[in-house]
Amino acid sequence: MGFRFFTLRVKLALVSVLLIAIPLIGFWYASQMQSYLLFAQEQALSLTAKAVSTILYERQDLFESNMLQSFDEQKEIRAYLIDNQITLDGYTDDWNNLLGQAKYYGFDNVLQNYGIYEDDTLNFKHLIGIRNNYFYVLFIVNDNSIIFRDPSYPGLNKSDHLQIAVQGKYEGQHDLYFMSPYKSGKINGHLMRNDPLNFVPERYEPDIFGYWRETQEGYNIEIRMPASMVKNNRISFAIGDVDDPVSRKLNTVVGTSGTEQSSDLGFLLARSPKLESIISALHSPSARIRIIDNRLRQRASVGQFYGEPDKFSIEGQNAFSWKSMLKPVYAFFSNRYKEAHSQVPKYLSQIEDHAIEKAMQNGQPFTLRRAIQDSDAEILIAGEPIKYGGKLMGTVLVEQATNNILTEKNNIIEKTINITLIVFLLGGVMLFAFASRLSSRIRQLASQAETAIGKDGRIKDTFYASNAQDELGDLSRGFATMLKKLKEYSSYQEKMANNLEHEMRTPIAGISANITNLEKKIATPSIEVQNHLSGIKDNVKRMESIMTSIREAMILEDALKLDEQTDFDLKESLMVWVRDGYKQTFPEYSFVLKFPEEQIPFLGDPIRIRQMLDKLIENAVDFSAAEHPIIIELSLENKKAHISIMNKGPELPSELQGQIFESMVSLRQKSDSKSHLGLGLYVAKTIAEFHGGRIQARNIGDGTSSVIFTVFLPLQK
Amino acid sequence: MVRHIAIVEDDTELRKNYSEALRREGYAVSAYKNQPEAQAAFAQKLPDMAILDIMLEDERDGGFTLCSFLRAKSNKLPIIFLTALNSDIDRVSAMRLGATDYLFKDTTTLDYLPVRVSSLFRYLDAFSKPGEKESSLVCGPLTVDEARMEVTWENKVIRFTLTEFWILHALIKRPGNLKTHDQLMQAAKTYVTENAIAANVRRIREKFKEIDPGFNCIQSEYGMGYRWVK
Repeated sequence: MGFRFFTLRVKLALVSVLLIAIPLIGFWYASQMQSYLLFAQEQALSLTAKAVSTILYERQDLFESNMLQSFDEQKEIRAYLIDNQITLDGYTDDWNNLLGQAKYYGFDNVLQNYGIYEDDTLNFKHLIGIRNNYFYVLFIVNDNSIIFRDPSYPGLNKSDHLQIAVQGKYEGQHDLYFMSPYKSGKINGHLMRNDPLNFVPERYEPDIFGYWRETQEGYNIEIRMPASMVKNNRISFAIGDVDDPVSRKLNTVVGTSGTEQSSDLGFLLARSPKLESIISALHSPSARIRIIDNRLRQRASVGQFYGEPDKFSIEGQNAFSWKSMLKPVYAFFSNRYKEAHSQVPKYLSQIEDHAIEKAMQNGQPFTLRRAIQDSDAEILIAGEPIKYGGKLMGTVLVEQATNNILTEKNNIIEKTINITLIVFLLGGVMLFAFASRLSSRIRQLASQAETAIGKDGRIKDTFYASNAQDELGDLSRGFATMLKKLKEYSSYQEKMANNLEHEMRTPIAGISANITNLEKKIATPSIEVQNHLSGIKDNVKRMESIMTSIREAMILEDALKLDEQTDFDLKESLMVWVRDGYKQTFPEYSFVLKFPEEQIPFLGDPIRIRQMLDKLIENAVDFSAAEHPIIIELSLENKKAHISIMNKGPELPSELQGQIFESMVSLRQKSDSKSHLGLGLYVAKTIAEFHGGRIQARNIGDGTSSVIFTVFLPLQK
Repeated sequence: MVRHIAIVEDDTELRKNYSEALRREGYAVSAYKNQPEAQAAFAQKLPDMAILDIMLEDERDGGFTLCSFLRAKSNKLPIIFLTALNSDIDRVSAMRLGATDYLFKDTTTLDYLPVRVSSLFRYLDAFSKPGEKESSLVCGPLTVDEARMEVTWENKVIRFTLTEFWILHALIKRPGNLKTHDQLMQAAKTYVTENAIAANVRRIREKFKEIDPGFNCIQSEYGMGYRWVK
């Protein structure tokens, strides 16, 4: 049968590829679920935003205390969030990128002027940031002449100085601090007295301190103060400038807003602890709630928008387990995201996203999604306007990264992969076993069917019908039934030949008996009557011999089994057979016998071997003219005796070469008195095969029109 | 004294002709066409010899029934089966039931049947003259009483059919000499094929081997014939 690729097993394996549908359904389900969860989360964030906005709306005090808006934009001071440590040393390098945001104060911000003011007389850039409940303030001052404090004078007004005004304990009252150094270096704040004309400080304020460093253009001041000192976000800064070292007269004061009246104080636009405490009640984990005012400034922020870490991230594998081995597989099919991001998306620190800006200015609730760099996660943003008295005061932004959704999705993908692997393993094993079982059953059936008919064409009793209650069982039973019927038919045929022979015998014997009696009755029959009688006898004998040869051929195989096997010398036997047999039987023909020198001992029944050769010799004689010798050659090759009988005569037609040894096939065209049922070569073949050999007929093909029959008989059984 | 032969044969033609041929030879012949008819007659009076067909009308082994019946009445009566059945099973059954000979119906039946009948009567006569042993051939453990058709091997009697006995006799008469198939056929006063001779030789061997499994005195000679070796 040879090697075949598309066996049943392979075909079933190919069909099992359909199992891939399982992970595909799993992945599809995961992504369906993802979009559903995203939608649900958007809804949840919107609701949160609406809740925050509703609460703020009910807190009228917030609006009345100008929490969200200032009356005077000029007085606004914007506070930034500082990410890094600030060293108070007068250098600006640790303010990094915020330096660009430093606001310029100059001509427009002159609060007092007692001399000539030009832009380059005094101006400064100012930055304020918040970090860990401290305000850090930077001043980069341009001053053409620096006048330090005179140690002999207790007041703080006769030298270059910094004024800080914050709201005092009570509304309408304010505290004013002055800072003026004797030289470059550390400085501290001094609380001034309530008397505006007395410049001798009331006390030293250790909570406000910093550094004063002279620069080429002037000086830098870096200070730190506790956030709690700034009440209601009201604060003002001013730089007082003294230019004449002799008169030490105050020349100009430039400030963010006035420092002399509490109502003059500026508005610090920083995250409001009050707001944050309100919204932190509504804060949900892994979401950030921010309040953005109507000028797009962040006023409160609670929570982190990041979520759970990505458990299938390939980075940072540690424990070795089968799960960690599968991690790359999970990672391939799932989404990547990070717990935190090194680079915060820009709009989160500053609203520069036009779509968000526009949505906020529209004053309508909205939801938006923003991608995160290097991550499959997104940030969901829900916005809800805060309105007060029909005016848009700001927007509540609720932001959440979709990490938790991706985690859910990844969990489903992980489970899908696990189930798929298990199904593939188990299913594969089972399918393979099933296919193997199936194909082995089919092969068993096929080999049973193949061997059900023996070499001799007889149906053997070796086929066992299967009891299996499936189609293969049906097929097996069908085969068994078919073979049984075939066997019945062939045994009927055999019996028929036997019965026919048996039934014919009686009438033939009857005819003979009648003739014998008739002969006896006719005392002296005429020649003519004698001829008729002998004619009848001959024909009856012919009929009998036909019956006999059919019978002998029919029972040959069974008869062979009864024969006695003896050791005899093939060479000697052949010589005797040719000399005493064939030469006597066919005196008009000549026989040439060739044989090797050594003896060829053979185990078998010499009578049968002779019978076999008889048939071949008869066949050779029948097809040969008397003038051509019949050549019989015995040789020994590969422990096999070869007996060839060669005669000149008509060649075998090629289409019949394989069939001439079958029963009832005869090539004879001559008509003679002998019967030719085509049994002779069949008998010869049966005998050869019984002795473990075979027989072959072929044309010599050398143009002499000769036919050679060769019998191969194995010497050792 | 006229010998009385009973022929039981269901085929009318054969019955008529065989009876006629035997009567011509001087025997008194009663012919029966089936088993009950024959058995009824045998119950009244036994014939001197019975020639039985095995299949009688619709009885597959009517002949065997008759054989058992006759053998129960007499163990001397020669019983010849003359039948169209030629299987070993039928032969063995017949011998077990005590048949004297087993013949195959063919075109030459009437050529040898009278000879056999007369031979059997002769052997029967020999039994009735006790003491005469001069016609015995002795060859080692084998003794063949020619006159009585009696064969013993190591003093055990072996029963042969007439054909087998004559073949054995031909072989034993000249031990060591090759007897061809043709010679054996003539000795057996029959006309059969070589295969039939071979089958008879095989059956002779088997009968010896039943008594003496080491029996190896009949040898085939290049398939040309057989010889008896001591």
